[in-house]
Amino acid sequence: MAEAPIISVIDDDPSVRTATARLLRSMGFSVYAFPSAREFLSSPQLSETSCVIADVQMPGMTGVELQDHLIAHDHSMPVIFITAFPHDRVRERAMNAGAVCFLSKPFDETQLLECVEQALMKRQNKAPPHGSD
Amino acid sequence: MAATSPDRSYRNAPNMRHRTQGRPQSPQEHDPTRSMSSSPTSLTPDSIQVPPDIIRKWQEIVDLLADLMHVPSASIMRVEPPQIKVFVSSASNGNPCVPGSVDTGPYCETVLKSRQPLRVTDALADETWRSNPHVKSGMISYLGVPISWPDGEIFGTICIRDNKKNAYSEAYLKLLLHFRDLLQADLKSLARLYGEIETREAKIRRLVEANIIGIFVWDVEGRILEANDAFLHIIGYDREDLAAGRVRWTDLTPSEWRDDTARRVAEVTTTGTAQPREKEYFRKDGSRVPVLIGGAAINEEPQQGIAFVLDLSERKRAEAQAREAERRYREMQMELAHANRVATMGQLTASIAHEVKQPIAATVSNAQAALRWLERQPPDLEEVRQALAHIVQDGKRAGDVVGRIRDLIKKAPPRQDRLDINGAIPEVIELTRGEAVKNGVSVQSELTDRLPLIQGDRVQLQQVMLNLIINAVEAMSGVSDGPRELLISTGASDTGDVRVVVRDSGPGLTPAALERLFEPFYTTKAGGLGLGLSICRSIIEAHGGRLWASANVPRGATFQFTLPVHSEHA
Repeated sequence: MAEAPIISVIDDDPSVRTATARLLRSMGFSVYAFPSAREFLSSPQLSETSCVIADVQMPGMTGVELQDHLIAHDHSMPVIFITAFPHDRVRERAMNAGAVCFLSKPFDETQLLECVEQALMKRQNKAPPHGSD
Repeated sequence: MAATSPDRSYRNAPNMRHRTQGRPQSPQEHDPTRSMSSSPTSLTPDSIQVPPDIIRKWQEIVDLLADLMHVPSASIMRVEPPQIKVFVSSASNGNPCVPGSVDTGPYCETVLKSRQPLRVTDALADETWRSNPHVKSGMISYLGVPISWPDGEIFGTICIRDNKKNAYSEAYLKLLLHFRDLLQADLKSLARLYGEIETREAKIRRLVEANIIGIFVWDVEGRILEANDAFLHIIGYDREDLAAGRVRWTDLTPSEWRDDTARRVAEVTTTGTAQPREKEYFRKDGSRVPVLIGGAAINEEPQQGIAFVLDLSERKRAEAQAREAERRYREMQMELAHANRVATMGQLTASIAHEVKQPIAATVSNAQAALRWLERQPPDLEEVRQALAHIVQDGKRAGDVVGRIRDLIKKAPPRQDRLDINGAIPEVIELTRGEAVKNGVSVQSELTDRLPLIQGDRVQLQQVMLNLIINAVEAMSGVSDGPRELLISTGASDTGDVRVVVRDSGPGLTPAALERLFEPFYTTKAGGLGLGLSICRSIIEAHGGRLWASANVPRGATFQFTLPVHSEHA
């Protein structure tokens, strides 16, 4: 039985965090949920994660800062953003930095599923972790 | 014969004046080729007509002279270059001088040249006078003296002739000179009268020639008899067109102005004047020129009038520009109002959008997860239960968020200004005028005078008005048939509160919509958040009033709110 890809959900809002995690689990993914970027970065799941789904507006480290941090530390896992404040400038910046999707809350499951599948394909096409990029 | 080709040197050079050829035109003889602004005939003594009453008096003088002096002929001659004509002549027997005939003899001509009295006692005995036409007609003696205008210019002569030798004593000459003085006194008053007329005419001419306003003389047939350059310039025709009769005011007048113009012509012919009014003329090129036109009757000519025309093109252009500027200003105000509305309502809604979207997003995800867990074989009911429990929680949370907003409005007490609601409404109508015009909505207001003052926040109440008006305008913009009317009225309610009513003729509200209209997030608009009316109601309730909606008759919706009257003790 193939191991399900691990997806990490990072959102400071507990409702959204749990609901997103629940939806992804119902889709058959292994999901870890974190209330902040710091907790995710310091967790053992960091290296196992195939895809990050992060809120943009979070206290402490924002989603975009998390994306910068991951790039800076050669963690090349794809990032999907979900936000209740879809500002064009933030979207542009995130997408330029290589984000797979930039979803507005509330989002639909089919949107989410498409984004995750796209992210996992991107992940497969890439060199293994720590590969030069 | 030298005597029949008079030498005009009897006119003293310094007194010579410019004169036109032939007789001056009488006022009745109109010649359209003549420019009203080109200098018309200047009045010279030659052109002065001696009025009939003076002529009658002079007739009496010559008749009396002939009688007193026992001669067959006493006459007054007048110089009418290049001739000398019999002007008045005695009715005595045997007088060969007929008024109006040319005086062919040398006697008077000599007097005029020398400006001295002339006495010929017996022409037959004198070489100088023997062979002249007067002798042939039997007049062999002559006594004549010159008559002058007050400025010294020669008018003519007064003379007597006899068919026999006559020595004409000094007494005769004195008598003749005395009568001459009478004639000259008449000429003096005549000249003064004409001088006054000339001065007045010069002033009128100045008015016409200044070409500041267009002036033309018209008749009821439609003809334009005279026109100044200014008028021709306004209508784009030239003087040739005028001379050829191609310019008729009836043709210049567009059909929709004909009735009005006919009334104005009648006004001139009955009252003597027509007050200045605006109308339009066709220019020669077919374009239209807006003008201001007034008119006056010409006393002597009941079928004619004079018209004064002012070109309003420039002013109309300026007015149009001002209107355009005003429109742009209104549009800007409208945009500002929009921005303002978005800023006030938007500030609230945007700040809460985030909070509201979170539970909504969670609900959508939970529901979709629940469906997936149900579809599993076998269904994972525990997961479904958890998802549903979260949905309930999030639903409550969304409701709480909105509740907090309304509490916020209630808790932040509005400014407590004492204000007249009627004073707050026109500003809002003004702000929304552009929007109403754009959507073809006519806005009426019926504000009841002397309403009691209310207490509240003027800006918040204006925001409510703004919302209700914009909602109504937007609702009506979708109506393709029927009138788009918005009525804003104020008055007192049955309970003595102040009431504001906004009625529209839009599609109206379904019973379901009426029930849910003020619920947060209920919207019938594609892009609406559904918070406007909810917040409006919160504002009105914070003022101690009520806001509700009902159906308008025969169509459309009515929104009204009441506000309690300000009490002195509050």
